[in-house]
Amino acid sequence: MNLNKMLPLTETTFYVMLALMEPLHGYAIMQEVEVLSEGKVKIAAGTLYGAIENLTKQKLIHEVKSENKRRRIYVLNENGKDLLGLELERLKYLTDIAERKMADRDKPLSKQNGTV
Amino acid sequence: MGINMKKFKLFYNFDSEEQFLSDMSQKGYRLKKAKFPGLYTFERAEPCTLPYRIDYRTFKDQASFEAYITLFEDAGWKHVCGTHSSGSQYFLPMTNARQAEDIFSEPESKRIRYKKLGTHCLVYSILMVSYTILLIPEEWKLTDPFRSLYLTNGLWEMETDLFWRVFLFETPFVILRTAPLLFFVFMAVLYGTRYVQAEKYYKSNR
Repeated sequence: MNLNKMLPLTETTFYVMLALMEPLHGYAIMQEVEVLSEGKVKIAAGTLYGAIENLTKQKLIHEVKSENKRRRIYVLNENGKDLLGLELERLKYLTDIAERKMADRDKPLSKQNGTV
Repeated sequence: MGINMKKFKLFYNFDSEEQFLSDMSQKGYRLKKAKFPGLYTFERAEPCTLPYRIDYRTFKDQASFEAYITLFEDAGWKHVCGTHSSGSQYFLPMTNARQAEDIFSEPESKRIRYKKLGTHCLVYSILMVSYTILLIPEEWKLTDPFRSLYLTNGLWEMETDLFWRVFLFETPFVILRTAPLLFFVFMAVLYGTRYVQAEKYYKSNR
């Protein structure tokens, strides 16, 4: 499976995968995402169900046994962890080059300010 | 209470269908059943504006369907209509607090409904065309589609008086023989149109 082809992840997918580092059922994922994003991201039920379905189909998460059949519990598998790692590297790389570029742009400005 | 009203209405767009159901609830009709492709049953209720939300999904078994409903219930949405194979799933918020919210938080997941609906309609449309082909009467000829349905020998060469009598006598039988065929032609067109429309919405919302 070529994981790189699955990048970039959507914001929803990213948060759901991050939440599924530990086994959780549907509504618990929604709550965990809200906590992780400090209330900024709320995933709605329909969108979450679709995301779980896609991640299962792509074999990035799998269902784990639970006593409550109506509340299915999912967890990230090895492929999922690898993909999340790749996405993290990609995002880090992006923020690194962006920060460098911003810093370069700010430098001459501060020098100018210094000479004036 | 207890008085049902049926309505046949075709929607190609989930937003307008939601609006229609909301308008009906305002008039005091609450959705009781919705049968694909567009037969709605309403029951009398206190008029109030209900913000219906529609998802489109089919499920491989009852257990998956129940897990789906539970997830929505946990999130504050009551499943009011739909079965594991019905496709359209109708939801209402359980508390007033969530009334302004949607069951989707990302446009792509909203759009994907049209893809599923389209596939569903295409399969049905192909099925209906197959039935139509199977039901074509043996005597029917493409070169003379109307006259070939009448079986009386020499009917079309008869004198006016006799012709009309024989023609009118045979017509009900022709209608009876072709009614199932016409029904499937109608259904094929219906599903075909829905397929084309669903594809259109799927593409235009990109």
